[in-house]
Amino acid sequence: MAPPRALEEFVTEANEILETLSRELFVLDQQRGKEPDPDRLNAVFRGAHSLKGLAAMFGVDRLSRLAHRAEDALDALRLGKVPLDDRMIDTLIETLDMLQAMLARVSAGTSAPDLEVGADHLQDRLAELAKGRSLPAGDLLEQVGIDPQIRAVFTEYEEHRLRENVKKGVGLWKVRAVFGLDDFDTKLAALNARLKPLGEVVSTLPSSRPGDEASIAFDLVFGSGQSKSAIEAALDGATLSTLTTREGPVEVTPPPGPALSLPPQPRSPVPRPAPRWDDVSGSGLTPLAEPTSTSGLRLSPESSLRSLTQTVRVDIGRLDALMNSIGELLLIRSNINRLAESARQVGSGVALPKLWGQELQREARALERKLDELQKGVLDVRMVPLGQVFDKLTRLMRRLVRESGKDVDFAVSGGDVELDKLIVEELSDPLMHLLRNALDHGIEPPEVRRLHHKPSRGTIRLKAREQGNQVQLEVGDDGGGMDESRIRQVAVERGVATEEQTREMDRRDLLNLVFLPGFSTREDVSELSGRGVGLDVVKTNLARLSGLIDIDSRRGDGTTFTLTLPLTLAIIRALMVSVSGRTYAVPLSAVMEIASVRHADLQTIERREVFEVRGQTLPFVRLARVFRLPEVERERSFVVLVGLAQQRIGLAVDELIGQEDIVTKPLSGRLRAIPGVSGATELGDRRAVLVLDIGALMEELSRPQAAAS
Amino acid sequence: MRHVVFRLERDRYALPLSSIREVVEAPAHYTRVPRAPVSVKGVMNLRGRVVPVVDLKTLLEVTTPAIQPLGKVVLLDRGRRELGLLITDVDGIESIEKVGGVRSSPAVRGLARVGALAITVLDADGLDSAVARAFTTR
Repeated sequence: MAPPRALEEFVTEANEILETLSRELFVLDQQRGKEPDPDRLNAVFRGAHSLKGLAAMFGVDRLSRLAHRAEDALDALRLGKVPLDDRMIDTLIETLDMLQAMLARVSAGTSAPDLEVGADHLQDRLAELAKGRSLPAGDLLEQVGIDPQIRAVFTEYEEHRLRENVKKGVGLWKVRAVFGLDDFDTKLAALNARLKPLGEVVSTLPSSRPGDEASIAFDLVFGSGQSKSAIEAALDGATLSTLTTREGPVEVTPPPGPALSLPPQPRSPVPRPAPRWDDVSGSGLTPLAEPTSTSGLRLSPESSLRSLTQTVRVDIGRLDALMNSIGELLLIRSNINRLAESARQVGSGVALPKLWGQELQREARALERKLDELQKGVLDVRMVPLGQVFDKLTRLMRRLVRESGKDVDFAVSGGDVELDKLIVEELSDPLMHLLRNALDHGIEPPEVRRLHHKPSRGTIRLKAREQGNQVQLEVGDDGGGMDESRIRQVAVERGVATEEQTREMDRRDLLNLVFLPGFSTREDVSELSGRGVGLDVVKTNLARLSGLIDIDSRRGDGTTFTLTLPLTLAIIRALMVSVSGRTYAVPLSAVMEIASVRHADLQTIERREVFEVRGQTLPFVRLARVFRLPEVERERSFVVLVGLAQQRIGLAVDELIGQEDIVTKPLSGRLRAIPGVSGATELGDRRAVLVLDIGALMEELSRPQAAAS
Repeated sequence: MRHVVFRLERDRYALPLSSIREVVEAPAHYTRVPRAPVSVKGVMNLRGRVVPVVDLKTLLEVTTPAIQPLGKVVLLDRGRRELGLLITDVDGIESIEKVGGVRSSPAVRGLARVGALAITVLDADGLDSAVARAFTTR
């Protein structure tokens, strides 16, 4: 086997291929029953092909063999020899899962004897699937009268596509285009893009009648149901002629049965053992009634979706930008060197010329600007699209939905939103948790849904969108929602809150009880139409990412979780405040506004201090008191209004110091357990300053018992 | 086994050399951590890392009056969970094999004798769990 370093490369690359494969397969899966897009089939085929080659090159034979079988089956598929039926899709998806499991083992450096049986089985199934019917000879293409000279240069695949077009009864055209040698590639691509919506470009052939020396001519074989004038409108200079000997849409004798679904015709020359899948049991294979159960692959749904590698794939353009910044920094360095040199030559005791100072100042400003750029550049490099995790979740949900027997649509959007790689990785598990909950407990069985006059097909949504320097994720379902009275009851039973407290709570507070540790166990919650399976864990995980989670649920309409996350953890903008002589950093993302409040204007409601801002009454929380610091008696305080959604509080501090970009570092060791502090940062004077965890603070302060302490 | 012998006020203590990452000068001031246990002095900034510093005197419940400033911080090597212990000063490195006496607490392995000096030998794991306990019983 390859040395570790090379292996790492293999894992990264194979992973990438598998991700592409899964994306394309997912689309095919969604479009079950429809005729697959040939380009998509081709892409899946190429993926399997590259994976086979890659694995063979790195000596990962087991993986290579399975990929090879998949490639064979896909080849038969794209050539139309076998139909894309449910059995095929399921097998391909299982193969993908298996390949992923194998890759995980390779990455961990462990052998995978337990996967062997499943892999062998899949290989057999793929081989069986790849055995298609052979095509009836002497066929349609002759009937429609295509020039044998053109036919001779077609590949098997192109001939298959041409045949498909003939079967559809669309017109076959030859588009002749002449392009200049210097830009023919872009022009050709543009022509293809214009033709694509109108039909299918079956083949692009260099023209048999070449153009002059400075140009190159192509014949595009094009199948389209559009009228001649409609196609010509898209050509932009190329000429159109019919490919067949007849004008317009070809009329052919009906093909032998529906193209993709019937058993082969009796006149087929090659006998095959199992033309129909129903007959599989007769051919010595076990019946494959339940596809997932036979593969031998036991991928626990609880297994983590984290990436196998720590690698970030970086667009070369971003690296170029970094390189540029560094180049300019070097320039500034030499300028500063020159200034230092001239200062040295002036000698001591002599005042430096005014110009020198101005120049130094200019360089300092340039340095600052460039450093900002560099910092931004490095942050950019860390950003990856959420789609990476969404793809994995989609695949997992697909399987879970199939296993659950419920009828559920999974709608994903916002996969292009980018987040820090670190956050994206940490997000996968909490999201999986929430989605599983939505499926297991949120969506009701179809018969219950019909009873409530809802469409029997449920919907689970996963949505991401960018909001300033935050990202908002939504996991929602249109299921049964949560039962408030039941939450109240469970909370009291479990001692999470007293009955009196729950009566005083509004809807929102009540719903948020489900995040408290010890609120519920699985058994209790499932009868609560429920949630709560480790929701406290989800919340803790998010808090570690400086994220917040909120819940909204309506009985009968479903539940939506909203997750708010910073774009990056590495560098955040913070408001520096001081309390009792100590400095703290408040992440600016949590700060809504700042007010100055006279203590004389404070009111007390239920032993809690409150103040009013534009008619709204908000809790006045003395940070010094929360942190048990000596309080200084004063007439007025600055109040930092922090919060999310409707919930907000005012943190009273002594002084506002200003804004700064800070690099947060986690508190090491035991200090991580301290509530209200998410990390520390270093200021210019090398002091460590603590960064407040606003989410945790608000949580603590909104809990009823906090008022008493 | 080689031990680092250090002083806490007048008393001598030792920790296995292998459990110590480094010894640094105590910083002029610490960043206090609100609501941390009393034994936690605060955090210090050590070359960009944020390290919690524990007052060993409080942790071991040593009540001898302060006569000398606590001038050094011993950094325990606990992987990613770094922990600094505030001590008076380091004496040196001694080979200590025989440790006898009673374990008065999990943090103390026992007593050893180097020359004429009695030395309390500490246990790094025990210290760590003592800190953990301080956090939970706060």
